[in-house]
Amino acid sequence: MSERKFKYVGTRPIRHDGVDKVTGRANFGADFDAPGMLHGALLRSPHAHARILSVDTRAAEAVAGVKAVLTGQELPKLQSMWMGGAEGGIDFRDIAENCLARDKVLYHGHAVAAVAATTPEIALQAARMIEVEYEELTPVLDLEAAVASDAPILHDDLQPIGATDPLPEGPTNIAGRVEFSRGDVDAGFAEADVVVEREFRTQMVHQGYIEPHACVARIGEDDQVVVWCTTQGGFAVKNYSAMVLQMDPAKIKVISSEIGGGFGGKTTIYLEPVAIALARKARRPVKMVMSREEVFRATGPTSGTIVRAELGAKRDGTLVAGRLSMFYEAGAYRGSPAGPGAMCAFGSYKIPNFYIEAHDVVVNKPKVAAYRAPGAPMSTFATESLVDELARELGLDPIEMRLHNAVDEGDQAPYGPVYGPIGLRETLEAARSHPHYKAPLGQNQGRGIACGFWFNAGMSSSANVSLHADGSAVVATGNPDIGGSRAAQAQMVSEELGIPVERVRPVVADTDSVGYTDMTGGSRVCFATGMAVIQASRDVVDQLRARAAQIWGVELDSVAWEDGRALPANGAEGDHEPLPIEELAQQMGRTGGPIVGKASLTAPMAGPGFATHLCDLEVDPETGASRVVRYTAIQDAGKAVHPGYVEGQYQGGSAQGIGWALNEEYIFDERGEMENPGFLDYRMPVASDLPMIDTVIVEVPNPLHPYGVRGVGETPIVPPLAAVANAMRGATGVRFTVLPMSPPRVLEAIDA
Amino acid sequence: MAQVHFGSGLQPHTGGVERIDLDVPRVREMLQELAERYPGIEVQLEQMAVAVDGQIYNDAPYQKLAPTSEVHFVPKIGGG
Amino acid sequence: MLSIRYEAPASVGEAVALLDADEGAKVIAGGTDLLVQYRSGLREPTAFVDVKRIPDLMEISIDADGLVLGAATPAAEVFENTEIRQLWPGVAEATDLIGSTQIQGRATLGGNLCNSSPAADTVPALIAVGAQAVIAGPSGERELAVEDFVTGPGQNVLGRGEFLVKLRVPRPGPRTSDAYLRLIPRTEMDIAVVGAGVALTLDEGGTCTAARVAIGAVAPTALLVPDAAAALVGSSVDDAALAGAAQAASAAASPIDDKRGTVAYRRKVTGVLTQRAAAIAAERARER
Repeated sequence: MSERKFKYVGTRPIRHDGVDKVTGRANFGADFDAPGMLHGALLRSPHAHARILSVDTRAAEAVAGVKAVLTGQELPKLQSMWMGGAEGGIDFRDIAENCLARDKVLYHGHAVAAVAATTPEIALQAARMIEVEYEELTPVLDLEAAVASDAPILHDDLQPIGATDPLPEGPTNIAGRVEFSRGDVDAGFAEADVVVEREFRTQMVHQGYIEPHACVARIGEDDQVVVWCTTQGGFAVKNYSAMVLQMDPAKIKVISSEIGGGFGGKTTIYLEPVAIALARKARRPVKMVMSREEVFRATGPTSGTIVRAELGAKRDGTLVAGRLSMFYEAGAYRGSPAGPGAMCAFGSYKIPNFYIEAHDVVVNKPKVAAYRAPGAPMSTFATESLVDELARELGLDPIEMRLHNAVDEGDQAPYGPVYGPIGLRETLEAARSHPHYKAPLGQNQGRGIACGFWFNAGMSSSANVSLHADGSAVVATGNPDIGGSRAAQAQMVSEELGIPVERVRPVVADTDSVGYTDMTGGSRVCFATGMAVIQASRDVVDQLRARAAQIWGVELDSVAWEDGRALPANGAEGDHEPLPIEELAQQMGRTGGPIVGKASLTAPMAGPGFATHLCDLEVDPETGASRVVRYTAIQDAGKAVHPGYVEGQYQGGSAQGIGWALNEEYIFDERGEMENPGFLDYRMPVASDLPMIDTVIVEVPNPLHPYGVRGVGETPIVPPLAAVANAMRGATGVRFTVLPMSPPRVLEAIDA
Repeated sequence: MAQVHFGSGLQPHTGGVERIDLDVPRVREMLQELAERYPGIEVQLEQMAVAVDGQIYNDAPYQKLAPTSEVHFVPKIGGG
Repeated sequence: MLSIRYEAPASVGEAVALLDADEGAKVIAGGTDLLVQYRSGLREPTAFVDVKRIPDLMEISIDADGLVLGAATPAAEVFENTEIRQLWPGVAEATDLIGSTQIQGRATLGGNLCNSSPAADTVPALIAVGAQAVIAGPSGERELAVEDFVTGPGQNVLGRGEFLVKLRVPRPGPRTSDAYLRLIPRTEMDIAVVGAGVALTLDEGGTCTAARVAIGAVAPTALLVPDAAAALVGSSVDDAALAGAAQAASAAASPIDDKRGTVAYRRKVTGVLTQRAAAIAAERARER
């Protein structure tokens, strides 16, 4: 596998969707309009926790231009049905009631009713005229308040899931608990020469995708529904909407638009069932577009967390014991990423004795959604900070300390199975020999190192590769393209067929036009959908060889395929002139008909991705303001199909993680209203805040993929929180355990 | 016989058993066997992925198990 | 019900008449604050009175008396003007902090003042250089110091039918210069947590003979801080004088705890930025 010489894989072609994107022609979620279309608007809860006593829609219905009004009571009442998973498990009842509240509002901004009208302004004004009578309840706004014995309860019927041993009896806000352990943790700590212990806290943060959620729903007289929307998965929108509305999924077709960022946040639904229900009532297409404020208040950020962590080592740096007790905010409904947070926390190290418990806790804040390596950045912030502390206490180089404990192929992952070939050690070695690691630091500067791990998903994918008469090809898959997957898929087709990347047109197909495909998420598209693309391309190649065999009158095994041409082989060399793909394509009609290759598969988990990040930070000791002056992200990609977009993933994840570390946070007032629902005060980094983020692609081939590909999208956000905090420790002498490390917090700590 | 491991989260359902060896051809038969031995565990296992010799499958009842196979149950992972 | 009138008067008199006739009418120049407030439902004007077609409002002229700056002149034209950058570098750098490059093509200093945010960047810079605001209204023109223009967050002295026509900035004498600094957690696209503008004059021996210090984002309005100026006057702007100015500025600040910073933080950083801005202004003054 590693012997293979690639011609197109590993090159950096311009993405096929690039020109339309940079010139403003690409159609994103809000760009689609249908004739006769209405505009939808939502009335949202002004309370973080309240019972809905009554909803009076008469005044709204009377407004000229209003064509339909919808309340949560009008949607089907679903039974709770938990489709489990470590994170982002799904209960369709929760999804439905998050789209439109039924009996209770559970966060400020929770949608309560919807209006469709002839203009967005009328819809919004009418929505405000809907009268809702609430019985206000005490909001539960942080983890400690949520698990207190006298806490107000969000869901009277909440049944804890998971490792049930110490869960409280009776009503609770603890929705679930997982635990992982190995060895004898007490004995491990007893054996340690040095033990460090800290409590770490992070706040709720948003993915910050630039494109707000948007959709248009149209319903025909035969009840066939078409939804145009921005999503990470058209099939998910189709199936979830059908569940929420108790419709036949066969009646829903979803056409996904170009997507302006998702990072996990567009793996669920908010608007689509509401738009379909409004369209059904009004018998006209309905468009719904969220404002930025709605995106912040009412879509899924990721959890705020408390992680109590303890780590022990021998004097030579050998880690001997670890203990983690973690609490993750789920928001209004169960399903925080506490599970993967627990599974990733010690993923990088051989630790003979550990105990990890993680709790999924509901609070009166927006329901969290997936966010890039869900759960891992927060737990890794804790463990990588402690590894750094241990290295300091023991006087060890932080990279040597990590190399000394790094997991290798054959080591057991903290969650059970053994690792196959992995590249953590290679990333650490690359960091050690990188000029960045040896560069001198200036005044008030510090350097931080951190590692990170993420699983990478597999799941189901389909692909069709169709040959055109001119020898060009179209590759269609069901994955909305977030990170350049179309370019990578075209490269895979090019590699197999032997035609230039520009001769391959990659297409994101709608749910009626391609086989079932799981979401664009879990860093799975280049790996799993890529495998389907390679198989479909090989199917095309086999058909082309068969056509050549037919033309030459030879057996199939006398035809080889090389560089876009059929060649006589197996003793037939020289008997025939090579047949280029253009000629075979032109003759398709008379040699058996059009050629379409197809493949569908379910891939196993993609093989873990490991990274090591280096961060240099400069702190102004008089203002607490900090600046990342140098940053290097090193990660094992298995095989980089399009290195430019792999680097882009490393850089993007780093940038998001740096923002999380330094300035991003949801700020709530005492009533549970978010105070900073806009990019002015929700401070994501802007381009000028960051240096050019340097990248190193390490390639330890993944045996599960024909080219050795691993997922790369999520791992890059795992190390930065700790990398930045470790750099802050170096620059200021202070160990920060609370994020974000905003200037006021830093100055207070320096002055303390 | 396939070695089936139970993490600490599952051990309350196995009476504290950490590992058993089962002579079963596929994941499906393994799950049936476990449900018989440890009634109630199937509810937990339905929520979990199965790792066979290091490879994690979210939902693969017909995955073959070799006599030397190592099996772990892990929470299902999706991702962002 | 949901329509808004758009007016584009060609003279100051016409604009005054339109504004006087409709209390709900709002003056629009760049619209970079107003349109955002309108779209988010914070303001619901009945009419936009676009003042960009009035020649006086688009004027930049510099003579022996100083600068006359039309209130609707885009920020980009101000800080790209080399003479302004030379004579009032603090005002220029404050102007350059407004929004992004695209925003600066529309945003105006007049709008920054009339929006009357306590955190407006150009306001402390303008106060420091002694700028005057020229207001037109039904009873004619009046003029007042910029520090007296804003009366509270989002509030100012403009009465019914009145609007800001221009700003006058006196020409700096020899060895006189200014500087503005702000603190934001990011590098741009942000709003000041603390701002400080300092203008000062040195004599030939390097002793400070006059100074004005203004601070922003740490009180309901930008403040002129005479005590901070007094700490500088008579000194060579040495470390002791700078520390005194910092202390006076911190003492004058009356900030609040909010999502952008704490009281203690803002108070301390007010001093830090005042000190740094004064040092920069002094360095510039020595070079002039």
